[in-house]
Amino acid sequence: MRRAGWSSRSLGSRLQHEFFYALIRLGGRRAAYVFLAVVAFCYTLMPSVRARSAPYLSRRFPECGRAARFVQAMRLNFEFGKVLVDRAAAGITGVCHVEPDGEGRELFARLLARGRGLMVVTAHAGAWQWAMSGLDFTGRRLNVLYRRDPGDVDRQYFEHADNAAAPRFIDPCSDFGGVIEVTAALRAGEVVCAMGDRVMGGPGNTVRASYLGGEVSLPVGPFAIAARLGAPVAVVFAPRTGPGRARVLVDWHQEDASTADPADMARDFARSLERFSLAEPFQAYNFYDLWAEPDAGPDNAQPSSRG
Amino acid sequence: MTLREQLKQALIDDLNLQSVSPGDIEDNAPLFGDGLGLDSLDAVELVVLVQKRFGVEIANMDEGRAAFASVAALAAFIEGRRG
Repeated sequence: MRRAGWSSRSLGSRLQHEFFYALIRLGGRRAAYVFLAVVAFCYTLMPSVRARSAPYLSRRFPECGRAARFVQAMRLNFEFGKVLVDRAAAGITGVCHVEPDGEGRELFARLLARGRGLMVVTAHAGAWQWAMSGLDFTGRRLNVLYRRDPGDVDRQYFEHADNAAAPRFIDPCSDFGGVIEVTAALRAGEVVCAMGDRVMGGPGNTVRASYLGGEVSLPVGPFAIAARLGAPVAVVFAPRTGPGRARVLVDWHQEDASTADPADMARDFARSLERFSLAEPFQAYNFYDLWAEPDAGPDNAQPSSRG
Repeated sequence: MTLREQLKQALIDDLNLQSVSPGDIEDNAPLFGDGLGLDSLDAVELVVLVQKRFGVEIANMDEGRAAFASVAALAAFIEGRRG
């Protein structure tokens, strides 16, 4: 079955998003949560919305009845909505708590002390959208490989406040897939954050990996770039731990990625994602069928004369 | 050896282009896609190669687009940066 294709296009109109932003300004995030619960229920009534989470939920919770599946879909939508509310609130109110633990801080410091930057690979899970701002404790510039769909209307946390420090966004769909900017950032000792669960473009430079009982295509690019540059890699998740709170957890790391095979690292990432999905099932937010065959669209991998 | 010839040999050596000789690489043929057929991950190799062998940095997509159009374009870019 061909993948239906993910889209970063926002769910909900600009007016609906602006309503939530206003609610946060007037009543804080908890007021927004209350209204969100109603919105999540109404959205989940729509078959097209339930269809987006069905591939994931059916694998994470096999053998469930329709009623249980509906509740799971609603909970997933509600939890994702809270992440978006927290993201907006972080920018509007400036209040959010991101807690890298002591070991994490020390690990990041040690990896960055190697002088080759740091490739952070994460997923569309937990509070990733705003918790990466918590990496500012490193004192290094944060670069994020991120594609913004023209239809996106929801704002990043820093777009709500003029003085909020914004990461540098690198478009993975630009010329050379943003590779040149990523390379320059790592060589400058900066932190680059890439999404390990999202293939940009066609099936080139991907690897098939096991995830929740099936096979998915995952990008090798972030690991391959780090390997070529001898940069360290850290697989990081940021589970949401409460209203406006998240933790930054390093699942595993590679001190020098040149000593590892990029495809193996991508498969290890899949295992990390599975562990996270098992532990926090309603914090995994890929609302499309990861397990479908990737589209045979334009890709960066061209026939090569290389052996 | 001219700069273009040096670049062609560097591409073959650093990108492990087996069964390709410098004479097979046209000066004005595209490096990516059609032509030499490099892909985006090869751009990492190219950035490192250009800095390591020729002491010139390629910092962003705009510079890359100009420099990586062809061997001739890359040679011109390097010569321009060297002054």
